[in-house]
Amino acid sequence: MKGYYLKKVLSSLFVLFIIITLNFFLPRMIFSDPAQPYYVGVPEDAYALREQIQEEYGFNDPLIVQYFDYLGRVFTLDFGQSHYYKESVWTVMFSRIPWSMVLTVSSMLFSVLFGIIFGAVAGKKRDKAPDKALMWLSGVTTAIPSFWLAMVTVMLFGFTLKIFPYRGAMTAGYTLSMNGTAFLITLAVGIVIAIILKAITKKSLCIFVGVPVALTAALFVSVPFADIADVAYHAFLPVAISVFSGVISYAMLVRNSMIAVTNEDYILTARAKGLPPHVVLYKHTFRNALLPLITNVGMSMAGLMGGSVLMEKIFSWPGMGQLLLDACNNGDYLLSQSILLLFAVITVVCNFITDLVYHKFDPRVKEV
Amino acid sequence: MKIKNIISAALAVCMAMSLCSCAVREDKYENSLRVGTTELPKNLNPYSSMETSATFFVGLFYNTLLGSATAPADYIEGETYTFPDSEVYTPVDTNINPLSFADGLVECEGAFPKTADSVYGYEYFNPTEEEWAEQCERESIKFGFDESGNPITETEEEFMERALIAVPNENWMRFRFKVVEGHSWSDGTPFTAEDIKFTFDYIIKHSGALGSQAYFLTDYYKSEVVDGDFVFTLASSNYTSMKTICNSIVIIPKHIWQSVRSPAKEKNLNPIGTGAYYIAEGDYIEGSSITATIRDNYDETLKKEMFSGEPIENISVILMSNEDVLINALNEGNVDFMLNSVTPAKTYAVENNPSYSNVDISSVTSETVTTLLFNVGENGAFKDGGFDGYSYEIRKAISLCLDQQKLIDEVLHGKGVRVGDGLVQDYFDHAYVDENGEYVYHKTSVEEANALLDTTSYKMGENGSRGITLTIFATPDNEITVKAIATQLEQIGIAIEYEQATATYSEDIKQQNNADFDMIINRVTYNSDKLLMFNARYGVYPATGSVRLFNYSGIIDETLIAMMNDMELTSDTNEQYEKCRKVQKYIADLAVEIPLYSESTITFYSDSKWQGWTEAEGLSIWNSYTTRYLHKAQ
Repeated sequence: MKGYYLKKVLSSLFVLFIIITLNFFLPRMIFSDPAQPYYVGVPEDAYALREQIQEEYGFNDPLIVQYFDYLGRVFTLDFGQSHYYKESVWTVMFSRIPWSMVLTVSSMLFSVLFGIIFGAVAGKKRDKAPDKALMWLSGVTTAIPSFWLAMVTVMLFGFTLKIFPYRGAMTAGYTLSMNGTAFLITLAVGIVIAIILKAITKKSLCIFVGVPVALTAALFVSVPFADIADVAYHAFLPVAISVFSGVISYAMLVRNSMIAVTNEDYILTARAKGLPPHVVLYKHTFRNALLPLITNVGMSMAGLMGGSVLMEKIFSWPGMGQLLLDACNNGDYLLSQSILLLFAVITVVCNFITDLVYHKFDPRVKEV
Repeated sequence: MKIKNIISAALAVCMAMSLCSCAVREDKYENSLRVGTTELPKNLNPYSSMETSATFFVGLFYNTLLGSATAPADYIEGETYTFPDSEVYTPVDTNINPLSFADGLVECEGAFPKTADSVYGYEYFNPTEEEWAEQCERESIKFGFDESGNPITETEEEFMERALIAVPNENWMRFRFKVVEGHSWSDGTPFTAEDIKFTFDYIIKHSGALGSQAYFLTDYYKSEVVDGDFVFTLASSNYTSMKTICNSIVIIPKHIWQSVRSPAKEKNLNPIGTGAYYIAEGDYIEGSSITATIRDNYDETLKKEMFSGEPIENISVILMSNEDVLINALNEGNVDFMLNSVTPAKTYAVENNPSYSNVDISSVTSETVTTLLFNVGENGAFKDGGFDGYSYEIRKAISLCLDQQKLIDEVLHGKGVRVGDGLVQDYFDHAYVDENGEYVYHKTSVEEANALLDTTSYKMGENGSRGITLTIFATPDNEITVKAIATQLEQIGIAIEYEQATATYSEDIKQQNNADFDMIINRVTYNSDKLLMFNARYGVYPATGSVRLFNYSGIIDETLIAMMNDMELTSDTNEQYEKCRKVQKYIADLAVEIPLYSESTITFYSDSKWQGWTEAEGLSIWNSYTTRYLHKAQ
């Protein structure tokens, strides 16, 4: 087993190295002169000044020297200062990550939750109303681009009905006030309680449920309710649109998987054994039907940080997707490289975790 | 069961509504002037902020808005224009007092003081005998030697006479700026000449990091503070350079920036400026909104000059990343002005949609002309001798075939104006006119174009083609222009292919070394005293008002060079202007760059909550006149 994990770790590290290398060279292929974004207002014929700027930012060093310099900085986690924001890259990224998480994590949770329920019901009642509705909605979500749906939703609920806000993560002029100490203390206490409960009950469920509960509690303790309500209110439309397409996609996956599993011999055996229908459904059918979902959710988690660029753009949501877009448009190398690296690390880590989880759920992998 | 479901659903709706009511917060900006933008500045460093909105803020914080050199949009030259408060518009005489520090990132409408009592006046420096001797010595060495090998020395009178006329690049000029007392930075610190001197020294010291500013100081020699006045010495007599410096360099407060070691890395989120506003609240990294509030300690005289009535107390700039959302917010009255300019296509859609009745559209002439530039470089298809020696005929035929009005209608939906082949728009002085004094617009005649091409070896075939296929290199936003040109050129049997351009495309053709394309869509910009005629730059000198013209075109054309030299050596100003027009005509006849149209500057606003919006030529609806007259609707 150790060999399996070691192999996974080593392959992940190799992928990361390739990504870091590409991450360095690809942005430099966009501009013929990598210092181009730094020449704000510098006229085309000011060659001496341009050379001075190149020297100041190290762009006139040989590429290989720049590359090793970049590697050195990556390994020491020194991503430097954003040229555009005049702020540490870490500070800029950390200011955006929570906002992306609000959109994407909540979208994913609701999508998975409702997707499983909808898919299970549709799978169980094949060719009945829920199944037909799912098939129809699947066609609709495939045909309608999410950005179009977002625009229509904004027009309808934001401008015509004026029920929901159409821009930002909070009402203009308000900022989130958070008591960091209270947040950390509550979170720590919650996690400790979850660990103690796990030790007592010997059930991993305590950790899986305890940590999100602790996180939620910490948020409510450290952030004023008015702020939470404001954010939730602003997040409703973008989350609802993401959930709409997410639910259908996960539901289709679960539905198809359920139908496939229902026809397996072991389900027939379970029924023949005289097991109650709900045991057959939840313990045998559902558990096996979830395996493809785990892979799918694992892969989607990798995109969590990237968020939905289009959704963030339409709703002026200050997330990572928009940050990356701005960084690329403004040639902010250090920032765009760091964001891409972060995405890459998250992708690799998520894939690694998916492998581990899959390994836990599917005993056949252990045998392999 | 059903009743239970209904009750549950009703409870859920009630909870959702109560949550919504909790979440709905008071509109903090109800009384502010609300400006919507698709991009908020991420820092307010006056030397490196890039966004349009950053320039807008720098204008609010740093600029001392002292009136405008730009006429209102409907002002007719020589006639009287009356503003809403009965004030009569008087054009600024730039020859009398053309220099003042605008404290702006870019050249802007606040550049010229209206009165002699403005914050910055100027006077020519009158050197002492000692300074004069020192200067003569330096200049003698720099100038070289006379025919006998002796250093050139001049009397002060001789020198000053030479300094003020068009002697290229070898003289020095010195300016003494009086700083009017009693003005302060927004934190209350007095504004002095030391701040101006510090700014120049600082830029020179950090010329790498502040390259865009340092570039303007190419002609910088030294700056001094003399008896409380600021004295600036140029290394050459490039008066245009002095003017550019005044209009481009943002003066920064010494007491704040002297402790800033790395200016390029400074965020400057709480900027201290001489302008009328300061940042009251701002959210940069998450980029939601920034509010500027009028200063309590701003000079009352300046305040009265800036605002005709009550000043706009708060200006809130709110981010709406999506342009369509922003336009709808404007239509709903949630914002009053859209900071970003709008494309003609979008304007057309809004204009013809009755649902957008609350959106007001400002469309004024701009200083930019879009042109079709031929690749006449040594590797270009249109070089001398190209196309079997018919390069000129083909260029001329293309010029004759192009119908500007059709292009304006098709590409700009009518939001543009026609331009003459001299490329200088009709509303500028010194634009080429015919013998009757009439501005000469671009001529269109497909028949003449075909007749001209029939004289070449490229005859029209039965399939309606002359066997000529040309490539136009343009950015994607100009693809529609290329297609419209292609449709028009079909009439003379010339086929056009569009090639997508990279950001550096203009470099390629300017360096005349890229043979991959035959033409590019180019843009040239003019202003009232700097007319660009096919890269031949024209400038007016103070005092004498003499004219000079630099040939940056790269065209080696002896006639053109001779005409330009002749014009520069002419002492009579009116005669010079006349020769300048002839140069324009000559360049136009070369048919190397054909005007397509001058696209209007379009901005959206709404007068449902704020009224007094005033259009000015070439500017956004947000200009110093609007600032002056804007007031809350009753």
